[in-house]
Amino acid sequence: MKRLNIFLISIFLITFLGCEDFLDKSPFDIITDDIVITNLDDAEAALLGAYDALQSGDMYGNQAIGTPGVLSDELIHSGSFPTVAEFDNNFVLPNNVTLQNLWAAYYRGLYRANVILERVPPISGNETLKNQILGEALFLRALFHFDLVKLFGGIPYANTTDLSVLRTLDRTPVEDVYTNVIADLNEAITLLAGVSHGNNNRANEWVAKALLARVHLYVGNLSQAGTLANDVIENGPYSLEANYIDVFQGGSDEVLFEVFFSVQDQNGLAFWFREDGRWEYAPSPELIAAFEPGDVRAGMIQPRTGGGFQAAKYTDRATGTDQTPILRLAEMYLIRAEANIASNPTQAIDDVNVIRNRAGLGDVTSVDINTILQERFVEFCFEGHRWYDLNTHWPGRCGYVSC
Amino acid sequence: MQKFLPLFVSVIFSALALQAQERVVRGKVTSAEDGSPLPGVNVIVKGTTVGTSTDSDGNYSISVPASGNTLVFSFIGLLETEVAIGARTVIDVQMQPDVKQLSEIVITGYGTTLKKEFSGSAANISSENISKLPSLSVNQALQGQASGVMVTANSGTPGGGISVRVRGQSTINGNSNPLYVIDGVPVVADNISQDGFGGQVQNALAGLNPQDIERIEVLKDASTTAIYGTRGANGVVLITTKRGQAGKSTFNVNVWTGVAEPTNTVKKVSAREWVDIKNEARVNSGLPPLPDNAYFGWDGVTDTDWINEVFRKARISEYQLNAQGGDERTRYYFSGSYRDEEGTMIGSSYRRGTIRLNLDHKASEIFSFGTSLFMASDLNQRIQNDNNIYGIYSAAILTPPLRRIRDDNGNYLDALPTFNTNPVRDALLPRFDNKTNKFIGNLYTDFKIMDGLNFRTDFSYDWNTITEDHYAPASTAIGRPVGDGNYNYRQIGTYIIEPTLRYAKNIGGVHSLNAVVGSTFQDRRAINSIVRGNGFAKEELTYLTSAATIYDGTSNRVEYSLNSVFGRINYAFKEKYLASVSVRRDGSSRFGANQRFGTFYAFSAGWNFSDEAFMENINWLSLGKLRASYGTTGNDGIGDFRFVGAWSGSGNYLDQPAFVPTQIENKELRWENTSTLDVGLELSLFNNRLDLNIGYFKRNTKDLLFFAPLPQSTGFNGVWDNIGEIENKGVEIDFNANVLSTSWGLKWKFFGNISFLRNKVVSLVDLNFVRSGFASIYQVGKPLNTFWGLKFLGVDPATGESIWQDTNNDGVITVDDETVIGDHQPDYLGGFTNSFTYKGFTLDIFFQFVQGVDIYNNTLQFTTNPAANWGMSVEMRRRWRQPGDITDIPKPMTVAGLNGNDNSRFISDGSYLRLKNILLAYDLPASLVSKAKLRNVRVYVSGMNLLTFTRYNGADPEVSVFADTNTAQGTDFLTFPQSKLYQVGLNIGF
Repeated sequence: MKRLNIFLISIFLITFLGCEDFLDKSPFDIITDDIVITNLDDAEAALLGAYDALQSGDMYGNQAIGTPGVLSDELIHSGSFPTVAEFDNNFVLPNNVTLQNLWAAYYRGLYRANVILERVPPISGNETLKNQILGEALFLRALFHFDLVKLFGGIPYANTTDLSVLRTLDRTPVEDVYTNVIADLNEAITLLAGVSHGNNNRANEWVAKALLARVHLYVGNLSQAGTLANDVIENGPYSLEANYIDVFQGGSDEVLFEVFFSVQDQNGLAFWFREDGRWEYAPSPELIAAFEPGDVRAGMIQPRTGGGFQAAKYTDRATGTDQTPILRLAEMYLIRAEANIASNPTQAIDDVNVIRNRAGLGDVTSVDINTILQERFVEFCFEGHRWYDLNTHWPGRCGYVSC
Repeated sequence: MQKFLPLFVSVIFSALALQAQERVVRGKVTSAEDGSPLPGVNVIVKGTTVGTSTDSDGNYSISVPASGNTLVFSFIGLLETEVAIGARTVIDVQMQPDVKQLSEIVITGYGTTLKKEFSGSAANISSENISKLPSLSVNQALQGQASGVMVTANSGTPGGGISVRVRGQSTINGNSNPLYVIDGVPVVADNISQDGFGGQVQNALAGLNPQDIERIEVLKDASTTAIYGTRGANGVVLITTKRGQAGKSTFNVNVWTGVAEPTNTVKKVSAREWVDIKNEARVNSGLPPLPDNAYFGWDGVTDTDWINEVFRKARISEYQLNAQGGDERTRYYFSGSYRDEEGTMIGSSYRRGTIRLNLDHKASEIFSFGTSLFMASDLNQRIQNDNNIYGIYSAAILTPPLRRIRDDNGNYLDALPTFNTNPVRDALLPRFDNKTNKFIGNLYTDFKIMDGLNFRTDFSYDWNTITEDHYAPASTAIGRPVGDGNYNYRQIGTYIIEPTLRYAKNIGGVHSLNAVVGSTFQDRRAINSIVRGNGFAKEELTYLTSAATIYDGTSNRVEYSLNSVFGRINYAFKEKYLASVSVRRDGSSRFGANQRFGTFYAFSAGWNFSDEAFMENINWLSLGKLRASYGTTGNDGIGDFRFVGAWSGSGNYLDQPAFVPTQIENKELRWENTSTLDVGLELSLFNNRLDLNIGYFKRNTKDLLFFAPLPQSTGFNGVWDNIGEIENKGVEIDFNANVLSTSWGLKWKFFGNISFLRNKVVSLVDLNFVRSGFASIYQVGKPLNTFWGLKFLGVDPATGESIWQDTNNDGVITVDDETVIGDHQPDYLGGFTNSFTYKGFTLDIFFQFVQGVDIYNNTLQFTTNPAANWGMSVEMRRRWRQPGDITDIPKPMTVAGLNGNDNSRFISDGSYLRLKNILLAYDLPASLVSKAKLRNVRVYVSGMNLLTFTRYNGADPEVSVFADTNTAQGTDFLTFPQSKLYQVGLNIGF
């Protein structure tokens, strides 16, 4: 009898001990896609996730600054990564991982922006907050596309999260990308009217206007660029710093938009630029020669202990908290100046001199496109502008779109 | 009458004995095979706890109590022999080898089978082959020992990862490691470290003590692995540890010590040559040469041999003790060991302690229980290596010899201004202590329900923790500028309950039936945490308490469960016609509700044709068996929750939490499905003098767990999906011969194996190929680990420039001309051992070989590139210098151009024949040993990797920088070379 019991127990154990629940495991460190955005608080967290994309080392955490810098006459390759050497040698192989990663980082950001633009409209709640979230997402989508089209030309324009559409996207013509970027920014300007964040790490209407000014400059719509730049200068809550160096300390009144970094959320800019890091990039001889005597901005270039020079715009090697400036008021002055070269030379000269005087330089008495390019070269050194400035202002071109 | 006489006599005398007082019986135990004395044989008086064991001459003496009437002689590997004492005072016994016990049994999942009745495919490695060679880890002990099992130590890292592939690779993104089952407990065998060290992973089985192992079975075909269901597709390694034998306690002490050094290293040019080549590159590129001091301030004298500086002759010692014994009811095996190992590279070491206790107790006729308890603790002091800018060996190779290690004040210098490492400093100053604790516990209970039917339940727990205690001071490359530290902890605990009903019955010697049915409940819980900080006030303050900034901290938890039922029936008719069916139904939490359950099955059949009447007269054939099997297995070896659309809270912006998408949903994700066909012929010839097994298999894996690449413009790298098919097929031959056995004592045994394996991607996503590693790709129609690049045709003697194959015939050379330039698939591989014994001497020589395999020597790509500032290999001495030079090294230039692209110049033949192990041992004569009251004394010298015959142009052909990959094996990139090891040891039994 006892043996029969054991037998029955064994049968029971083997067949019935398990149950469906045993296999129902829940993940602890992820949320599933279906419940991630259910209200505006979630949407806000997802929006911060889209901003988080900017911080990638493959974007404004490094490559969005370094890659165009080395491609141009702004930076030379002083380190050891073969992929960066390829940029410097103008011999870029298709399997260049640095470039592949940069490309991927932008599309990661685009997906995050598109999720918000698709899922937030049906959510009911505070309309002002909703508009603000949508406006910021539109701004980010425009910025990501704009950076991509500047670097790669025609690109797959991504305005959906539908995988079946995304995986077969072909190149969209340059003109169409710009049309969409401009449309996104115009809508963002409307939606963001009156928004104030209390920091310069998120987009408001002025940030969107300033980016749109730059977009118009690059596509050759000079008058629109000038109008927008003027609007930002005259009506926006920003002012130039008295000292150039103060612009880059984080939270400057001059900076419309900079990517946030902190001890908990570091970037590698100083690591890539500095001698106590990789010193992967160094200021080019052309850049060093571009500074006039007495230019305080030349302080952005320092000699290096082991010989050569290093950039000094991003210096927090220890904790990587340098903010990456994307839009600042000085650029608006130079955009307005460029727009006014022919139509209002006095204003153009004044605007250039505002920037020059702040740098400790004397006045210029006339302004042409070369004056502007020279000023942009030194004013925005190590901010990722040079390659695009040269491309859009190459003789015979005004912007990517023929004029 | 003669038959009954002993019985009659014993009955009479035992009756008399009952009245007798305690008496002494003595005698000698010898081997029935060759008459040699047998030391260490347990002698007990049946029904009592009185026992002794034979001395080194095989003599024993035992006091038999009045009630005792039978002596039981037992020894591992010999048939237990019972002898009635009767009135005798001298009983000499000859013991027969227990052929069944030694070789006639195959251990399979949830049971054992008589080898003759076994119709599956499994390789067996006996303790003889494991413990006689003091190998450093359990998986290393498999190397070259069985056909179809490819074992590669990826580097010479102490405690470093070893890749084991049973019958090739059948997955791309899933796990390729076999399932390791130790005494019935499936154990964690993957790398559990949370920090990368540049490629080399930690071997999770490094903690096991190879000396504890009784035998290892590698289950290869579906009929043996289907019972492991979703975890069986990569083969199963069953490890059985030693258990106690009834009888007097015996002790065994084994101590060895040795010296290790790298097998070979990269050879570099001198500082003078380096500068000359750089200047030659400038001249060739139309630039003026530079003075010496323009090269990082070279003083024209310094010539630091960085590689020599970072290597050393390393000392390794190991101390082992085991004891075993018991009586008829309770048996034990106990062991302890300690290993102290220096790495061949400065700054690295490995220390390990282990304890094992295996107990078996028979509580009553129907109930028995026992345990296998194992604990290990190891400390692996690691260094950065391989594909890592801070790697020690990497930096030693890539750093030109221009600078000194220290300045005149003894302070370390940066080796190069552009490359802030100093291999010596960066090896010695940081602390990368990885401390691992491992506990494997198993408790079993066994009820005998009726004759032949048992109910056994196994309760197991596998517990692993790793603490990574890391700190790099500010003065090191990795720690600058303010010092950097991190502290990681991970624990993985798995409990398993497996009730099984087992039935074994032999009916009239005609029908042999062996069946098992059972279920598995397995639950695995892991927690992980990492804390990182920097900003250390002083280099003496090395823990995170002293860090100014804690800049990163994570913790998370992951769970996994498996619930299964399984069963198997083996049937043999007159030991002649064999059949087996097995089935397992698995449910795994790794897949969504739609695809959670899967059923796997296998059939096999065998025919011992040598038992047929028509074979009776063929005397040279002792055994002939034909076998075949077919079945399915699975692989769920991907991470957890791969099927969900996932968002993580790990993003943050403005120091506020942010959601970021991390994975695309695929509700239909399911396991890989592998079907294996296996046929084999097993022959035993000339009275078991020669055993020959020949097998063929074809294994197709469908629905590959594949992280299908997506265009990056989707915002994701890829999506987990079941796509594609991989085929592995091959022929495996195992060979075992008693070549010579002379009357004057010389014996020569030979055993070897060879495998021919062909791997092919049958179908995959709609992509031409997928890149992996440096120059590896996978592509439909080609084996995994195919190499891709430009085809280098030579150096133009006139210009010194490389000539490339214009693959697409468009008249220009671009990356579009890239093509297949090699693959890492051997034509064949295997190993063979010659074992000689003469009187007390034993000589074992074990060679391992791999033939027809390509290696992508990416180290060479870096060290023959004068456009960069890397150290240069001596290959550069062959470079083109002037028109007419015939060479394969193009002229140095300041821009690498297409020479910097992956190309066939860096493909090298990685075939090798390696003297993996050689052992010379001497067993002291019994007469001498017994005087010291010992059982046996053995002294030995042995060596590992002492000789390698290869044409490979890198340091060591046994290499793989991407240790954990399935698709980029066979790339050499600054990889820490294997070690050569010289050992002396002493083994004492008493």
